[in-house]
Amino acid sequence: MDTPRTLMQGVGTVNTGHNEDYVIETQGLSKSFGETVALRDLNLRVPRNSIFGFLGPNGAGKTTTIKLLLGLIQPTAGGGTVFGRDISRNSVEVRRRIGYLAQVPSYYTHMTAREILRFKMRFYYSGPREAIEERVAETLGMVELDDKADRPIKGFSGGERQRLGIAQAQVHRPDLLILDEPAANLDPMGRRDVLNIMDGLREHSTVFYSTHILDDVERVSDTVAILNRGELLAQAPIGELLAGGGGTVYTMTIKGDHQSAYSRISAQEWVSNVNVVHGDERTRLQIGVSDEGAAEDLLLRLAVAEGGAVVTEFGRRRYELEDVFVDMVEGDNGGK
Amino acid sequence: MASDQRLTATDGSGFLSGFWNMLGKENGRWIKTRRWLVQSVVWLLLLNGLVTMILYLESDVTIQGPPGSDLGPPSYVNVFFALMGSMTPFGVMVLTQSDIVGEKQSGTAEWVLSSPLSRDAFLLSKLLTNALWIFGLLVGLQGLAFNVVLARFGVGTVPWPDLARALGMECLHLVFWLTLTMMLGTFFSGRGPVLGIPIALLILQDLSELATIWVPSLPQYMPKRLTEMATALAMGEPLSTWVPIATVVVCSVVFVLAALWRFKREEF
Repeated sequence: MDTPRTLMQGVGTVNTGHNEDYVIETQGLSKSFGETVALRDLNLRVPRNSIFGFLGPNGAGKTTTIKLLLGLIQPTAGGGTVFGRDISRNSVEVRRRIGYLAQVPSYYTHMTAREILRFKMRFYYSGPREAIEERVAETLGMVELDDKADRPIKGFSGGERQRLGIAQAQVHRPDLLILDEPAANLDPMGRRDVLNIMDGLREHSTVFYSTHILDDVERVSDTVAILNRGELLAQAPIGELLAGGGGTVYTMTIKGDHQSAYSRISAQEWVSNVNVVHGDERTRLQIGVSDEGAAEDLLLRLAVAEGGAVVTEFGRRRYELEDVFVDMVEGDNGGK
Repeated sequence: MASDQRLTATDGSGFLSGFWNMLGKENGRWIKTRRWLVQSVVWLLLLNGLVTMILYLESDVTIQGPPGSDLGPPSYVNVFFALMGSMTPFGVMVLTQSDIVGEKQSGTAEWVLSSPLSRDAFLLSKLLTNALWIFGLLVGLQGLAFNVVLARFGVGTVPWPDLARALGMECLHLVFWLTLTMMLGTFFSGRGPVLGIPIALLILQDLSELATIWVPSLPQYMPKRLTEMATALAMGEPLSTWVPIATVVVCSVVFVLAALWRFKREEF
């Protein structure tokens, strides 16, 4: 499959001045731990009010990037801005507008869920106790933890801890939410809950989250970046990424004589390649074309022109994010 | 949202950003976990319990202070401050050794520092809260109880102004160990060196007596000298020297500055 590497265009052309359309902008952001390069020359732009999926296999540099944005670690080279503020020099101000959920969240165990939210809230706001309590209660309700609000968090399940994590990241209504693997290690119900919450935040915040769960990305993200071995392979709106960049592919399943159909189809000028996958009774053709109009007009007719073959399935192949991701990452790994 | 209009955004840019909130949290760690109660009981037993036991055993013996004086026998003051000076540094080390390292290991430091909390505020809030509770429970409460015990056994009490000066000196003594332990917590990621180095220094301090052959003034620079001075103050004697005080103050300031410097460079 031809991967949409052309989508990498634009990477590396980030303006140094702050663009109001982008919440996060990094320029050549790099981080090494001793001899190990964790992140190399990252140029990232996260659009305002997007749900931005930051994809990559384990060890790709996703968490390193997030920690750099939060000022928890310092870059070896390059830099970046969040809301136009330098991530190294103005870290405290940057964090004022961010809510963060760590990959393995840790809280003070002597506190209850309500106390944790109250504590977190007071870093951002002062005011009457009732107003703080009201906000805390609203947030607990949003993540459906109101009935467990006053229990010690030691007894919380994984899903409850993750919902508490989202609540503490969200309690001050940040302009940017950074979530590191928010749905990892959760059962399907827990994952669904977390994704629903993220989806609900779309209106008010920009959500930047890292993950390696591709289904989640397809479900909630509108923009995606793919990172591998500390390098950015692509960033684009998810629609563009899924549309692919290497031509159009149709799939056709034939019962009966597929050989003559194959010969007629592969002889066409607008057909760039035909892959044949043999099954027990049926044969599947994957047909790469350069002219979609001709393909839609003629492919079926060519297949059944002389009889002896029955087409049981025909359609344009939809790229799955998994195809794009695996192809990119494997291509990148193979080239090194 | 109704609550929004009543809330005011806090200033998140200063070097002490988040300090008061963190201070409240640290304070809660002493109050809500009943740590204060446990420590009060433990130190009352360790210090005043021993003094009480000695007084009880000697209660058959008639002991009187100097005529016209409220001060009890100097031996009890000596015992009390010797116990306090030798035991409370260990208490400080044990109570604070995991304050920084524990938060680094558990990930709570990463979590809380993802808020608009400055690293200086994180450290200083811990230092201040620990100092106040340790002074209160390991020094102040014990001094108060000591005088109550002396009064109970009818051997005369230490005059309150003298006792206050003596306890202040002990607090200064503990500042040395508190700031040292805290500084080590910023430099190391394991509890071993954070606890081991101060204990080793405490032992070396006693061994330093042997080195007076070559450096006669060496004891003047040792933190434990403050305990000897505290004992003298409790007996109504004036300060004999400022050298140990200046040494401890300078060392403590250096420890705090080193801790702040190192913690700014910590990567989470």
